[in-house]
Amino acid sequence: MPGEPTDRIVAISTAAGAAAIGVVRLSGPGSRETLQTLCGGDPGEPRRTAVRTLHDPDDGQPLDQAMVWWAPGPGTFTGEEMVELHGHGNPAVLDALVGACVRLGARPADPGEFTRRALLHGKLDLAGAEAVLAAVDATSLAGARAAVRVLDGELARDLATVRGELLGAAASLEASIDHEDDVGDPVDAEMVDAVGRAAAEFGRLASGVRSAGRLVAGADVVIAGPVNAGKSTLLNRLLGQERAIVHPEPGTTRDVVTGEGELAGVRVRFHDTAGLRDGAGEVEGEGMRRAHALRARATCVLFVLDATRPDEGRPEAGDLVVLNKIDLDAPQGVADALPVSALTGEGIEALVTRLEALVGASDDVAGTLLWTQRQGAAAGRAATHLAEAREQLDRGEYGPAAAEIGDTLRSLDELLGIDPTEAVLDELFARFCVGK
Amino acid sequence: MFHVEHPVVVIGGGHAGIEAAVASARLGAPTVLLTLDQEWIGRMPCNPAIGGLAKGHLVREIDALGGVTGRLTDRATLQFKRLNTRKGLAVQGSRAQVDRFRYALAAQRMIDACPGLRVVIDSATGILGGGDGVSAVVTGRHGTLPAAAVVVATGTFLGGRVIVGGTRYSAGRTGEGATRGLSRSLAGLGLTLTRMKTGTTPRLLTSSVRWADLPEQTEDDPEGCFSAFEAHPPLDRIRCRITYTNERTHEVIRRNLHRAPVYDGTIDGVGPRYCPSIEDKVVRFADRDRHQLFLEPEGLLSREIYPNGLSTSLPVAVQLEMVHTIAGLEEAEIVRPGYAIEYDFADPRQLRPTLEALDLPGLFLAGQVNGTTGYEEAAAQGLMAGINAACRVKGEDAVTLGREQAYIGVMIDDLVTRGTDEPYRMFTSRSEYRMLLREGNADHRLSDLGARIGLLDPADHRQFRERRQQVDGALELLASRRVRPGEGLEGLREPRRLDELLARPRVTLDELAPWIPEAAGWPRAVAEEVASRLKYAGYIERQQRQVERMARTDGVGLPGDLSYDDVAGLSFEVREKLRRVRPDTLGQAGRIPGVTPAAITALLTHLRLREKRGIAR
Repeated sequence: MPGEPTDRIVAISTAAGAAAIGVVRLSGPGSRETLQTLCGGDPGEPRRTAVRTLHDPDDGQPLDQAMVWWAPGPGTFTGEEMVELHGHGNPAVLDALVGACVRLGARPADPGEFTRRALLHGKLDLAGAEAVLAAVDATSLAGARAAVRVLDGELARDLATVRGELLGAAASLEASIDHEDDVGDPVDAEMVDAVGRAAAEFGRLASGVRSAGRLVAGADVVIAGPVNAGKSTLLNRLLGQERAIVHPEPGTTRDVVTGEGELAGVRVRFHDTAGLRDGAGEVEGEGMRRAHALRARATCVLFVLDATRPDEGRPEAGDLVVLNKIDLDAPQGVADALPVSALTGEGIEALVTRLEALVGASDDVAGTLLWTQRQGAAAGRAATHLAEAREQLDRGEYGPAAAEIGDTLRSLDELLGIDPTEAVLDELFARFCVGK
Repeated sequence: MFHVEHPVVVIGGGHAGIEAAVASARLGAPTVLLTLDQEWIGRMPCNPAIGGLAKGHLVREIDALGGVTGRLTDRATLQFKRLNTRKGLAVQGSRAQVDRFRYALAAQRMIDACPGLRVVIDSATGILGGGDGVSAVVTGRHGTLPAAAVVVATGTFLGGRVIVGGTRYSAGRTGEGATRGLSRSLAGLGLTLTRMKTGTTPRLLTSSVRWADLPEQTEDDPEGCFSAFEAHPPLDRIRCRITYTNERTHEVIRRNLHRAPVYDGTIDGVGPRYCPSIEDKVVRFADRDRHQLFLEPEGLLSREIYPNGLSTSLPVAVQLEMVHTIAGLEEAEIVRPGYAIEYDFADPRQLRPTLEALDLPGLFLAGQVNGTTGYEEAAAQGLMAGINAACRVKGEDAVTLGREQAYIGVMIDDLVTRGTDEPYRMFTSRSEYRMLLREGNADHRLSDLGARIGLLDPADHRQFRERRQQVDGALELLASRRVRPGEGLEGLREPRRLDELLARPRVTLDELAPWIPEAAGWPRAVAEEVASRLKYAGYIERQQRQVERMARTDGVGLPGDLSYDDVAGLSFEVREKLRRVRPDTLGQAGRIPGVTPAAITALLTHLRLREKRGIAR
């Protein structure tokens, strides 16, 4: 199999299941000929959509009427000749289209193979490849928009500025180490300042990662509190639907019930957890263990107290405390607690406003464009290295300082995908579904 | 054992040639050293100093492997300095001012005493060879010397042309044939040669300099020496003096700039950015009103002073006018004028990491002919070329050093992978593993290897192993003792082990002396190695992890029969670059400028496919 990629790959690019439209994509040499055969003639002008009836290559039976599109390489997503068939979204029809392409010599694509080919042909950098993944996986419109901005290279441009400044600082440090006689030493204050500025910038980027991540991954809100405080009723009120079973018997919710909604443009998963009490049964105990695990990764925790028995629960530091059932009695005040009635809806609007502030990404954060774990970790490492570099300079230890800055530049290059190690590539492509 | 009397021929008796010839002979390959003049062996045509930042590291590495430059330096040292003392132990380096006459004499004596090494005074006018490799060296008067390996260490003599103002002459004193013939021969063997330039300063008559008027540059490390194995009785010491150029000097230069060969178009070779001529400095740093000059005596009995920093190729009369504007040099006489020299160099990307030509087995190139500058850079390459020439004729495996092992490895990898378009000088910043490659641990990095290949004398290796034991013992001792609060160490709140305390910034062994009186008996090399390992432990560990990561791509060999045309997804430019360098490993491929990570992924994918197909068959 010498030479350029001679094989042609095909896959359904849209999500599994019935939908109005389904897209089949082909990439690689001979894609246009495949389209021509399926059309039984003229596939249309390149880069122009055309409506064609597609036929089974074996028996000539019509398969679907579809909007078709083709373009020659390298001006395509993968950099190769590509074809798209926008057919009706019936899984059986789409499978038949893929089957026809395979009989005409295409190979079913491996997961992430379209993007991998784009990377191979230099059409995307690693950050761009991750953005494709993020755009497809984004759980909200804001997340998808941020992903598209990365595809436009905005991330690369922002970071290139910081990188440039850091390279300048590294260069003057190296000059000071390598030219004892010529360059004034010890290092000049401007360089130390530049290192400090870059450290602050990365600190800002890294701290933005967690909340920016919500734009793509969504947020998790855990509803916790003592048994029978009305957690399930509150969940149903927040979701506006009967998701949880609401029952006055304590311990009704023995497992975690999850419902999804949207707040401030972020997809939010509410998790109603088992009430906390001693002497619970085996099944209920398991539910409580799961509740603890969820708490650990929650964006925020709503701790619900019963206004008639406010002493029965112990919220943890940082929990948003809600005092429920204020309709029942003259409510006793609890410091910093939001008074609501899940039953009547009283106080719910104020609660939603508080939640929006907690789960929504600030404008600043939305502008940072960093969201994957890999990118967040790289920014965090850069900030740590630079802070250490400053300390080493203060101590007169130039070797370690230069090592820290060198490591920062490597972190940064990793962030930009300038030097992706194989491990990064493997991790990245393992997450792709076929057809992206 | 050998088909010919002297299977290895080394052309040139400079710093590369000496290391190559001695290494090859000591490894058991009878060797001829071809030089134009016995007196030229071990000459220092530029400044009378060995070492410096990064260059000192090279000298220590040569010494650790069993090479000679460090020992020769120690026999001729007049002043020893430690550089970067205010910037931390990790980046310190050493430099020795040497008596250049004693240095050359020491080199000539060492060569004379080296068994298996014969000096032939003659010119090399050509190299013979074909598909199987080199077969002989053609000489001016000794006919044809059959050879199985040839090391070309000709310095600036290949096509060398000296320029002083409007005057120019061939650098080979014995005439054009000596230098042109060999250039033509190398070109005929398929090597591409291009031009580079370098220069040197005028030499001043010692008695004409107002020495006493100038501030001294004093010695700061009189105990210092380069070799880790051999001590020499110290010579008398000298002091260098410091002076500066001034506005009047710069004015003379600016007024005569049109007569400088670089600026009038006579020279088109590329010169070193790092060691610029005074005319370059005046042009490039126009805002500086003075440049520092070090006045270095060339030897204890020498009548010449080397004014370091005053490299020039202006006409002799202008050099004199310029010198006279400088404090202390108002009446100085020029013994020998400064000059620029232009010479041929071979693009080192035509070499393997063993310094052997890609297309002519047995032909090794070392030193300035590969585009480097500096005695130390040349010597380090000479050593590796000599080792590999001997290995080739003995049928043994080649020896190469990794980037994580030695600056020598960094330099050679840079040269053969990236090439160079200006004279290549060693800098510590060229290494990504500076915290691992300290000047002080060269023996710990390389002496086992030196002994294994048979270059480092067994007695010297034993000495190193004792030192290593001392270091290990000292580390154990430090870990076994504690200081408690109230025992006299300021600011201590809870008991701490001595190794934890020494690891802290700015804490020295001296401060801990009351708790570790044994340290007074530790040799300096041991004490410093112990302190470095403790203080930089975190960095050492981190860089070792980076080395392991790199090893994953450096461990992937690229087969010799790999056709880059068969690799899917490589651009035309990347293919051209790979074809030119022909990297040995995936790691080396990744270090070629312009070879993208995407291309490396494509190469790796291709290799895996090849493997799979191989297994399928």
